[in-house]
Amino acid sequence: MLNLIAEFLKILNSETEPRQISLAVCFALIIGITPLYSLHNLIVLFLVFILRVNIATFLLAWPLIAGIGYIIDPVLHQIGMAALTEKSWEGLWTGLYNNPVFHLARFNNTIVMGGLIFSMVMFVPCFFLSNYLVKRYRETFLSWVEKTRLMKLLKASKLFQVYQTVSGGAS
Amino acid sequence: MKKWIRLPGLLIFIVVVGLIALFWFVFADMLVKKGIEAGGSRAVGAKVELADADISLFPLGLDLTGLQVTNPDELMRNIVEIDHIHVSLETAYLLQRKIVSDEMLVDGVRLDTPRKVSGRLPDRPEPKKPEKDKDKKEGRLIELPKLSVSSVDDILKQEKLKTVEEVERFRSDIKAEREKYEALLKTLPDKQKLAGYQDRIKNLKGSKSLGSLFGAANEVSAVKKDIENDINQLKNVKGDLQGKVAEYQNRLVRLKDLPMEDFQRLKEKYSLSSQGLGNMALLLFGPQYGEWISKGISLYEKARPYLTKSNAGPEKVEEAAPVRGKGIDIKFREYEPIPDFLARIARVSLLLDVGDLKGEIRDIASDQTIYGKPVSFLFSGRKLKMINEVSFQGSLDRTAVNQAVDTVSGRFTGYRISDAVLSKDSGFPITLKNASADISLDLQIRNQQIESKVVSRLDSVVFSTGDTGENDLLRSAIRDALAGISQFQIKAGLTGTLEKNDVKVESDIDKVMGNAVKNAVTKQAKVFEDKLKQQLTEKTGGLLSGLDSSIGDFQFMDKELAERLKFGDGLLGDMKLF
Repeated sequence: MLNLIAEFLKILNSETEPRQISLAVCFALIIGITPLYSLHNLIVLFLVFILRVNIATFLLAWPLIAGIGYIIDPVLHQIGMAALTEKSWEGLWTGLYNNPVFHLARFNNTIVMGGLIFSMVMFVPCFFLSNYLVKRYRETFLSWVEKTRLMKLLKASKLFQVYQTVSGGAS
Repeated sequence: MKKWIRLPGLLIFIVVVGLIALFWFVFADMLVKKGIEAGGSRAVGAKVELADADISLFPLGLDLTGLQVTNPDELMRNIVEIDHIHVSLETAYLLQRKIVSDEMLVDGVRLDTPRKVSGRLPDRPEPKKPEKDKDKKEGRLIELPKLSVSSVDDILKQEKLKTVEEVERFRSDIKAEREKYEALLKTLPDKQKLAGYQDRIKNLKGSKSLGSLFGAANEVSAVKKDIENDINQLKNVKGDLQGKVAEYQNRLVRLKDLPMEDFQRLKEKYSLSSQGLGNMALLLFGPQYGEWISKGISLYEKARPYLTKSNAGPEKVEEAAPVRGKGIDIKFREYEPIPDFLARIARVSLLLDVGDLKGEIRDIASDQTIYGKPVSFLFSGRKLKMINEVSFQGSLDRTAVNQAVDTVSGRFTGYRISDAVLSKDSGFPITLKNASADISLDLQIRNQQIESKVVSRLDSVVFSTGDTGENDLLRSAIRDALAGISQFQIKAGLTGTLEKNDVKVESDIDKVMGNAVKNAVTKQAKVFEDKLKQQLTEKTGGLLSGLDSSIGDFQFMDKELAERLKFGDGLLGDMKLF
């Protein structure tokens, strides 16, 4: 875990494209908010590996977002329930329900559907927000953070030594 | 575009997916085993254990070995134990998360088997032990009435006799009346007072002067009036007294009838009649039928929730509270509806005490309203350990919403019965030592209303009644009658609901037993009545003696009053001379 945090700090402070970090957060949003054993998560995983997405960020963001998902579970259930019981969409859902692949994907589960809708809606805003935050961090906070007493303490800590090891001494 | 694509990522993805598949392949059997054990235990409320589970991919199927389902009411017993189950699965339906099997093989099904360790779940309390009644603790008991004549003593000790009560009341009443009249007699004009009138009359007769004659006329009138008053007083009391005497004489007559009334009452209450023993078949075989019925109903009640939940109507998803992180699966109309679980045919081998049976269960569906066919079963066996031939079939129909119709019919030929205990009463044990039975069974349960008919024909019958030293007439008669029976037929009917039902047992054994019992009861009743009469006479006869003399005291008082009246009347006669 220390390695992962150190790697994340390294990425934030490195020349890695902010978009790669943001996209990793967005994919983590989908896989973290929806139940893990869902068929669509296989597609998410495929995209994470095939696209130049920052995997360390993805692996760090995933459990954090899963925790948030657990907290907002009742909201996700309500969203899923509302979508699945919407009369005008009944024909669509019935068609998908009779398709073995979609049936296997458990789209008819309120949490799967609610989580999927929530993460899809939040995908684009999350991308731009993450992008903005990474850029702002690098522009405004990076030099200031490194001068802080806290950062100095952190540099002397075991965490920073790990960070140094993985980053090869560069900062 | 190349800037965004990471081709080695495809390899990593394949490796990751491959690892996941390998993990599933290695651990799938264990996961299925744990899943079945956890889900089964949760549903049953006691441990469900599986020795092994094995998934085969080509062809797709599942093998379960050593399944044990604990009885949640008796944690040291299994409701069912199955050696091996093979389920062949249809892949296309599995993608729809449905388990559909064309054929299931279920080998070595045993019912009600003992367990080595308790099947209690750690989070469940020990089940409450059902309160066993005395009959169950000691085995079946037949309550034959005690026909001992010595019990008359106990009866007379515990019963309040009307004769005794009435005699005591009579004595106390008559004593009070006597004291009352004795006191009254003292206040009434006695001979001394009346003799005083005689002196006054004599004085009046002695008056000679005209003046005194004139005054005497008034005195005569006064004396006469006084005498008449006294006589009236005496007459009134005498009249009352005679009324009382008549009343007590009547009570005395009734008192003399009371011992007989007591006798009749006690005879009716305690004497024997063969009425209660008329249905000996019910007495002998009723408990056995009752035991089978309660066992059968208990098993049926355990299975019922799993059968009925499938046709309880559509679930209201809004009302169900979802488990956090699990959500709710919403069901939509299927173009080709099929239940979540369906086994079109299950070939089953049953290992029972009577022998091994083979059979098949068809159309086992988790929701019959979707599938439209009831579960049906047919089992049979020939030349078994304890039975020549057995076949039974039936169906569990839940195809209509909120309607349940279950039927079973069976034929059992040449069922060898040996040492079947009909009564464990230490005073009168009855055992069916040997018999060969042909049994037919028809049962229907329609929405909890139960109706069943069992006809059993028993041949080569040998009863054993044991010798316990209690050899009263009734027991001797039953022993003799049972010894003479070599074949009989029993018809048992069951009607009512699952909770409250009524067993009726009829048999031609009743005629044979009924006559024997009737004769024994008549003889014993005569002995009982004679003894009761004798002891009642002894107890009440002494009480009644001396009551006549107590009325005699009143007659003495009546005589005394008559003498006073006669004297008074004589005085009035003397007064006529004036």
